[in-house]
Amino acid sequence: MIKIRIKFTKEAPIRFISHLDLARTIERALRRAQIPVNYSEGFTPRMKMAFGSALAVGVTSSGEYLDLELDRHVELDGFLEALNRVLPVGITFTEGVYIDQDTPTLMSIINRAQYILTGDLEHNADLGQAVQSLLDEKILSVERVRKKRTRTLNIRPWIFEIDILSKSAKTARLQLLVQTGSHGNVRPEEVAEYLPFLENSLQVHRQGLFIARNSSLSSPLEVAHC
Amino acid sequence: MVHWEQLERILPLVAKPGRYTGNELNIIRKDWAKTPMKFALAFPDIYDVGSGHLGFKILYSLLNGRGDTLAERVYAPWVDMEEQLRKHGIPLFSLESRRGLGEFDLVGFTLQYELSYTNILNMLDLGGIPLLAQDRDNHHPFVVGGGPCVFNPEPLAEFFDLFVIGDGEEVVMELMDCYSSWQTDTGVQGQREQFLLKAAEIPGVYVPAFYKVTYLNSGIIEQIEPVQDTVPAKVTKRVVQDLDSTFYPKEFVVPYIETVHDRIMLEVMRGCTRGCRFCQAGMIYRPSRERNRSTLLEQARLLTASTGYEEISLASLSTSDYSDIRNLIQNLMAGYGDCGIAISLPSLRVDTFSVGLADEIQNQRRTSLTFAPEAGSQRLRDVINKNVTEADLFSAAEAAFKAGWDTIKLYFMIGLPSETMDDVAGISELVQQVLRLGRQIRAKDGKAGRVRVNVSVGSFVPKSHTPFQWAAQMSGDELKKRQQFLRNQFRDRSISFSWTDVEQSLLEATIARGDRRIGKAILHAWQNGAKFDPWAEHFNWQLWKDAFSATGIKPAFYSLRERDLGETLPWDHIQSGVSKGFLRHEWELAHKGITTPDCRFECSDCGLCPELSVANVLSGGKDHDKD
Ligand code: SF4
Repeated sequence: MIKIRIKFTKEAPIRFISHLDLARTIERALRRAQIPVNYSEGFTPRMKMAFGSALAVGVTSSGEYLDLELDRHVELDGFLEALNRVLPVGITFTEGVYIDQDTPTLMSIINRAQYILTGDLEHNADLGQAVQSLLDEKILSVERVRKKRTRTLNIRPWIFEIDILSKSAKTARLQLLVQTGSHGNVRPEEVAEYLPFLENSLQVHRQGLFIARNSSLSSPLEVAHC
Repeated sequence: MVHWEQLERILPLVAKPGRYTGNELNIIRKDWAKTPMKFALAFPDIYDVGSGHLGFKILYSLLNGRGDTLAERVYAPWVDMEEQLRKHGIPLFSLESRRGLGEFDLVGFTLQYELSYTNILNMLDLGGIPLLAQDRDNHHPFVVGGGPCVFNPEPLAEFFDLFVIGDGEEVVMELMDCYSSWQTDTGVQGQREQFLLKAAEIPGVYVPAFYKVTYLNSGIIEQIEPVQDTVPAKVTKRVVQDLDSTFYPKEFVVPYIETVHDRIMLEVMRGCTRGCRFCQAGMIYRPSRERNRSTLLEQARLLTASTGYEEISLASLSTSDYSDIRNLIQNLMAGYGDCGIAISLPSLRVDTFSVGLADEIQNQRRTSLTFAPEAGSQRLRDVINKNVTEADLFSAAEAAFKAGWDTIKLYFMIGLPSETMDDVAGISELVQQVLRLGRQIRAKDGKAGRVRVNVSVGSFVPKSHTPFQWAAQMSGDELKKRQQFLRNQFRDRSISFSWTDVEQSLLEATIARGDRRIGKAILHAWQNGAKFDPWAEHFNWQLWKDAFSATGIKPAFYSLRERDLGETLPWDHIQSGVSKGFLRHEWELAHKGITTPDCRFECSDCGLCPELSVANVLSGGKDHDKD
């Protein structure tokens, strides 16, 4: 069994498609490029493909990941080139590495997400102050609805860094590092709720997904190498 | 032009923004300024419903293949998006260049369903185009209609500049040539009427403004006459005779979001010759023309390579009738089975041969098989000329259960001419027997509990150009009584029962056989908020009742009245090629319960082939199975 781990981007023109739509789009591109992907058994064979983390509708990203199971070896550069030729505008496969069969899945290792938030500020807002008081809080509760049940969660422990990248009287850019994955997950809009952004002005970009170990961050590609 | 930045602000506020972003794979975006003719392909429902429409896929590639023309897609915005567009003063725009609908030279709507007419008005309005053809001037596009409903275009006569009747591939090119010479001869200053007069000389083009309709005191039409010398008294539909040499796209636009018919469609044939008397498609798409297997395999090769789709569907009105079907399926499975591409058949004839075909497609998931016996008794099936027997149904169902299917879907109609409660009870009996049969067979593997029968019952709506065009629609009360009866019959939890909304059927029947006067009611209903009428959540019968009474129209006159054989029908000047004499004869045979055979094997003299100099085409496969 041969596995490839791929890093790809999702840019503005297709930022409004959902995760499922993205998966289907990539499957179709793989078929157009005639990549020898393995299929599952059964009446509706699916490509053996596993993503790192779903990206919400409207969010762009420069660092998404997926693992792909192939039927035979392909030359990596040629593979990326062939795919990028048939991928629609807005998706680019930027890097790929071969991974071992027993490399842990992306889902099981990814635990950090870095975002850039850009938005218009409320009149006379003090963003620095707002960020500071957010970080000073011990509890930041958000409500999430799942299967018709509402739960209240404290997301403060999962917010690691908020940096103001740039700021003018009207707009600001922030960088955010938060927990993601099965052991806790923060949505960037939940953080923005506590900040003085104007309604409907926020644009979210995911910078990357990482694995935090012993206080250092590494990328899913690096981890795969070892 | 609508700017992306403008759009990006409102898209997060609407559901499924992917409906409006365009940029899909295989779209064609040409230089707006440098392309002289601009054609909008406008579908009167949302993207999710319309993007799979095959007719538009063909026209999109065909028109964009011309150096002098660009064609772009426009869909109805869902209500949330409409609200945003109106709020921000953004016109309804095309997905390719994001140009307002009003910026195009021609706006072509496909008329698939009468209930979508209010959406057409809404789209024109959102595009800044005057609703009435007579109010348009040189700054406005020509509004063109095509598709099955143009066989009775009269209810829309005041809103459209012209209609194209029949197969579009050739006539749309002639229309563009005509527009091009009008554009160069006279410039934009050219009179609209000059173009329309020229266009009306193209066979298959109908310009409603050039015809005058007069009425008798009874409200029945006296006559329909051209008011211009050069305009034909009757407009005859266009037919492309040879599908193998007819244009077919090498690429399909591949949507990102989930849509209806999101797959490769191979049109294996056009037309159907079985002659079901209720079926408008069966009459207006004659003759039956098959594509050669080799043509289809080449199309499959090109389309799989350009789209990456995971499914190839063999499209037609009755795919199991395609004479080379077995070889086609075998070739496709051999070619694509290993690449994760499934083959699918949209509809199955009620017989074991068809179940055998479905069975051969191993990689098709055995979710359910659909059969359409249409009526519950042999007597009534003879009346409607559905040449299916109870034995056919049981042997087909038996073969399906034996091959491992657990769910059978059955499609019936109520309200057919001459129908009694006995015929309706027959539906229930057939369903129970299929269920019992399934349980018996599946009990052998201990899976009797899994057997399901899904029954879907539509209400018959008489359509123009069919033998039943004279028939009265059954009253709403009677239809409801039948639905109630069936609901009581289908108490078994292994049977699921669905039916169509009676009021929607009444409206459909009123418009389907309506005349020009109906247009006022459509306009009135739209002005009061009617739109998305095919959608149960939006359909509002009260709006329509108000519209009819405000405009002095009695729906029953159009729907519930049996027409006199001698009266002038609103669509008498639109010719499908099938003679009125034949339809009348079929109507008489229906009363006697006498059937007419499939005309591929025995011509039933409908008049079409000699009249249009065409013929049925079999692709010449050896494998043909007559029954
Ligand atoms: S003329 Fe004869 S063969 Fe041709 S469509 Fe009519 S019935 Fe069929």
